[in-house]
Amino acid sequence: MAKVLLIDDEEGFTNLVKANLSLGGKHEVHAVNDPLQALDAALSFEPEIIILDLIMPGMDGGDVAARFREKPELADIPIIFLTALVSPSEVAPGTVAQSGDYPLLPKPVDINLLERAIKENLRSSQGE
Amino acid sequence: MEDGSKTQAFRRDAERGIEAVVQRLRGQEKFTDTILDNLPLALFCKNADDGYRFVLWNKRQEDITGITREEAIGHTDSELFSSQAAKYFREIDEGVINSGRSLEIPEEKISSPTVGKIWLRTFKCPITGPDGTQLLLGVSEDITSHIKDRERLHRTSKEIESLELQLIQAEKLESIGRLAAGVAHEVKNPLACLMLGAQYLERALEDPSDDVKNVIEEMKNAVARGEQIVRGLVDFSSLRQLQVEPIDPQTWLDRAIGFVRHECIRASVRIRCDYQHQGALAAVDSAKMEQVLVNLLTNSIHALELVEDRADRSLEVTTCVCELVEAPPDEGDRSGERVRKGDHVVRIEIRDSGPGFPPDKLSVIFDPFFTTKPTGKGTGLGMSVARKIIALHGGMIEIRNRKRGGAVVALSLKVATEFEDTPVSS
Repeated sequence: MAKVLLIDDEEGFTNLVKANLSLGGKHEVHAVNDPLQALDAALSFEPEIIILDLIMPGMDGGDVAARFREKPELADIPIIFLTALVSPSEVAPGTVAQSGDYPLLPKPVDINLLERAIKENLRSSQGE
Repeated sequence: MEDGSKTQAFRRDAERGIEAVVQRLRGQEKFTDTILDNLPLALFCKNADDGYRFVLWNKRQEDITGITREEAIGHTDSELFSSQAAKYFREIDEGVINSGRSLEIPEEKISSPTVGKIWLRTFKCPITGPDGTQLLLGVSEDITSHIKDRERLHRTSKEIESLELQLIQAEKLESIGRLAAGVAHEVKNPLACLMLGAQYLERALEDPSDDVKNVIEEMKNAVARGEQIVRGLVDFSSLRQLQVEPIDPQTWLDRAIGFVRHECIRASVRIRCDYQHQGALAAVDSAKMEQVLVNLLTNSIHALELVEDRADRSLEVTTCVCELVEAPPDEGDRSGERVRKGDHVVRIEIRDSGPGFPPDKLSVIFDPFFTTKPTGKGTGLGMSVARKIIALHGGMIEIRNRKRGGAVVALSLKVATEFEDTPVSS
């Protein structure tokens, strides 16, 4: 069970991801649709992992991640990027792509892949 | 003076007088000849009373026909030109003489035994010679260069027309592309939501019936298909910048084959590779080329699934370096330098033992949205994207059916310059 902060400008999308991830009490999910409010939400919710859309109006995921890294209490929280720029068919099936240090999942998101990414990245940060 | 010496003196004067007249006439004749030989027009004259033999043949006529005055004078058309040409000349000559009217032939093509094919504008008229003979006078102007200019102009205007059409087509495709990119982006999110919804139902329903499970599976498949079409549209509209570097084709060929390996295993397709390009490099955007190969291999695999006997499903990927025998057809996509006949190319061939392409469809195979696959199995965009990528690389893609069944897709890519000495295989 993990505290997941989900940041994506599409409300329908975040509702469904939240529904999937919190099914059967698996995870506690807090969704934010306005990237400008992401920082405050993170500071109050204290997530263990962050799922972050790359392209958003107002501020893109890269900038949001940079802001988190500037805050010592948020700097070590693992981030999983989501992007519509890459399609699932562009990634070898069953694998999680990397964007530098961070995992990058294509949209439409496969929830099984997302859960695996959460499990793997939570574990690695908790192991430190 | 005696009568005898008077007569002698008279005779001497007369002879001198006649001599002077003859000299004057000779001088005039020479003058006339000089004029005739310096005319920029070809002049000839035939004696209609003597079998239309040539009695006049000026310098320009010599130049145009390549036949000298000595060869022509006293001879007929049939002795100097082909029988077909001689017949043609005689018909016209007789017409002019019989009608007593002159004739202008604005264009006639003449084949001279020495000079080859030339175009003339000819004027023929009946005249009477000094001794009353019926003569045919001919004057010809060489208009070959004028005709060639006219043909060139015609070709150029046809080319311009064709280019204009291509430009219009390109603009249409460009705006379709932009529209497609916009639609694709907008559609991605609803697709993502549908996928998540289907997955949620899958996990949330306790003990769902088989029917429910099937419905959910169908929904997920539908989303995957929608996503593929979106991807195809985005690809089609966004091919612009290539990141080109000289690279051994084996790298991206192997990657592409690795990518489809699961599909091959699932469909019982045997893949065999035979790389004979001996490390020759081709300057390509390897990510894009990999995409093309995955596309072509996937097409072949789908075609092979139609082969009943699983043991007969084979796929062969071969490479070699060779000289391009045939130039690519004019496709109007001149974003780069196309390969030309005689260029050294790396030739990549994908051969399958499937049913081959319907012959009547071979010409439209690269059209966007053309597909022979049943609905749900392919978007019809793959080949047009593949062709666009190859064209952007200045390469060539050919498709044909094999004699013994199945299809061959051949890609030809220019060998990177520093490797032009790689031995060429036959």
